[in-house]
Amino acid sequence: MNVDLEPARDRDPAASPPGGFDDAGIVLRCEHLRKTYGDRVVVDDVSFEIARGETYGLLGPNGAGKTTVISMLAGLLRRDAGAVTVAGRPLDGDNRLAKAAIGLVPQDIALYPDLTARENLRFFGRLQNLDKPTLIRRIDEVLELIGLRDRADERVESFSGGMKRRCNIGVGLLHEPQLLVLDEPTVGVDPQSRHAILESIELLGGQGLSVLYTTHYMEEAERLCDRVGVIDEGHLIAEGTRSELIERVGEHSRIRIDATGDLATFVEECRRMPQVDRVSATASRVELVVAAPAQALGPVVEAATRDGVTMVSLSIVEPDLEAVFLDLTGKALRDPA
Amino acid sequence: MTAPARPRDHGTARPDDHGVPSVLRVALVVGVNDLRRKLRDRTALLLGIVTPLLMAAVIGLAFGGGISFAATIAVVDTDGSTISQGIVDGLVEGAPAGTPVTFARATDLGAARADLDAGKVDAVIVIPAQFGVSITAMAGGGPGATLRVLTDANKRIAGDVARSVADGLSARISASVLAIQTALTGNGTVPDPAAIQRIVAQGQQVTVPIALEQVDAGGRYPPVAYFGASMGILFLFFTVGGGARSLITERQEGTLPRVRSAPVSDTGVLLGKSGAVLIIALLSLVTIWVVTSVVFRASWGDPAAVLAIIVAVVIAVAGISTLVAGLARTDAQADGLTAVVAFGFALLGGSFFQSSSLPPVLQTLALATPNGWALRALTRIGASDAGVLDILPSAVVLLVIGLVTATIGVQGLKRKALT
Repeated sequence: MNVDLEPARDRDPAASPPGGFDDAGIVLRCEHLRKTYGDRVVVDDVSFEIARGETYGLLGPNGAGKTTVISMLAGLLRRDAGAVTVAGRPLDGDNRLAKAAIGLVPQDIALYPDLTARENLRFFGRLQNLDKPTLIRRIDEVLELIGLRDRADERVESFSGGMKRRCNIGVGLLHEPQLLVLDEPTVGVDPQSRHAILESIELLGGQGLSVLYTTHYMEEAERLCDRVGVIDEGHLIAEGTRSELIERVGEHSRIRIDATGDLATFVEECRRMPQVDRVSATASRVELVVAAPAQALGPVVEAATRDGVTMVSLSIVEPDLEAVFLDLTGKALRDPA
Repeated sequence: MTAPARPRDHGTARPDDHGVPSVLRVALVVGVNDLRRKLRDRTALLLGIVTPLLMAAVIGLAFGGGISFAATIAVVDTDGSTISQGIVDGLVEGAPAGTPVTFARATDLGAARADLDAGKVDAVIVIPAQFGVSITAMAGGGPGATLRVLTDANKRIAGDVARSVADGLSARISASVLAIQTALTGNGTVPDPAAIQRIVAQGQQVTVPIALEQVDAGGRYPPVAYFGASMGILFLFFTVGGGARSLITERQEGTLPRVRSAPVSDTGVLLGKSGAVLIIALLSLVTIWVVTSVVFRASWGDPAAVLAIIVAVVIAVAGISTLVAGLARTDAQADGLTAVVAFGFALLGGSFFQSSSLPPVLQTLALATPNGWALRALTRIGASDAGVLDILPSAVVLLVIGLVTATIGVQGLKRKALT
């Protein structure tokens, strides 16, 4: 199921001298990760690698195991099985050198609200063992990068949600890590801040920083990631570039219907249609994976009329990662808003 | 977000370019950060510094550096007999110098009552009319006489003293009457008039019949120092307990995982957080010590010995608080347990009442608490000039309590916050 590493963007690995990578230019190597809580298996046999300069997306719904995987590879959670190597250093025993190569940006705002932005950066920078001149320089650079230079000496508790998010990311970048790990960094962020965050990550990726990006937003994964691993119920069920994954589902499109009425009967009828490959439904939305939308549309509308379903909207969606997820799991990546 | 100041190649730096910080450096960075935050936190300041200061001030105002008692007792002679005049003269003029009770003549009962109501006197002893006649009749087997005492309900101690004085006078008069009766009836012989005259004269030699001595609680140990220390130890459970629980809180808020994602050891993080809590706790108790010593001039005794006990009790309370935080399942449960433990130990350990004034069983139970050990040692230092060597056993017991409970508590905290 794994696909050979082949970053989509044009980068020249030879442009930089060898850094914190193993012989194959791999920054992060996770092998057969497993985590259980009692009888419940939350991550099972998850393996993937991230190459130097690559942005890798871990795409899955809430509760799929993304944060658990990140916690294990950041050395915060003990794994039950498997191995992790960061920048050529195993994450076992004294794992401090391996952790030094990672810049973690957790999903929640992990900052001290009663400290200023500069004080937060200074504290976490000291924990990274940055010497004083380097720390002062990096704090200024990061404040510039995250657009908080003017608010640097204000307490974080006075910031807006977007500013807190940016500061949260800034802490992860402070020590110039080999691998930036971002756990759903745009959750709960306003569109403007979200755009700014995504732009910055693109910029950092363009500069050769390796990024692991978890999200349940298909659009973000498509925009940012060279390769995507699809994770569901603790299993990595597919991996590859966007085009490789879409190829897996056979270039199928989706008919998305928002409707009211007896959806159960309608869904059952759609499942029996030869033109429909797969159906998923929520209380108000039905999604049909189809090879030829034009041929399926007529019978679907007729069935809706017959079953007393009132269609609020109908759209045809070209193949995307959402379709991949639907094809692989039979369910939507996230509930409709 | 804007573009970085200058493009950087993130592929060139090695992860160990900066090296990893030593355990001590991590402890220092974490500790200083916690201290900075604690000092900015008004609640922590209130609990750790302001409250002990207020307590010290209130205790100082209440006791003025030591317990003092003084009362004025009016004596009203409504009889006017030789005997009653002798009693009044004896009380007013016979009270020894330095006694905290003084006696004053009142012209009549109405004036005495008015003075009592106005707070000019604290109690009144009334010698009723026909008192002398009744006493004389007692010698012949009469029913006797009664002294009356008027008291103010708000001045119970003065009232008790007045009652004791009246009881003492009654006892002396009864003894004199008994002696006269014996002289009159002894051996069936004619009584010697000179002997009877001597007995009557002795009966009229009235002196204050009770001894009043001012003694500070705990010997010479000033109450303001004792209760300053006892309240300080009580509040330690809350300041230190908050510190121990901060690991759980920070884990929930995400800052602890972020700290642990840096190249640091858990040992360094724990050391730093513990160090900050211990410093705040020490500051709290030392503040009480300094304020009560300087402002209220209450000497705690040998500074080295006092400091040794303060350090030891802070470690003991820190250990117990760590155990409580380690055992509790939630923050709220930890809060509740802390309150129960803090007030339970304070009650048993003599924080509210001196254990020396309690029954032996409770005095023994006090030694099951760090409060009991610390207050016993501090009382010895303050009252008996004990030095470091004298209180060493108490300090060792406190340290053992702290280390044992901390060891168990840290295991629980590690399971909850560091896994």
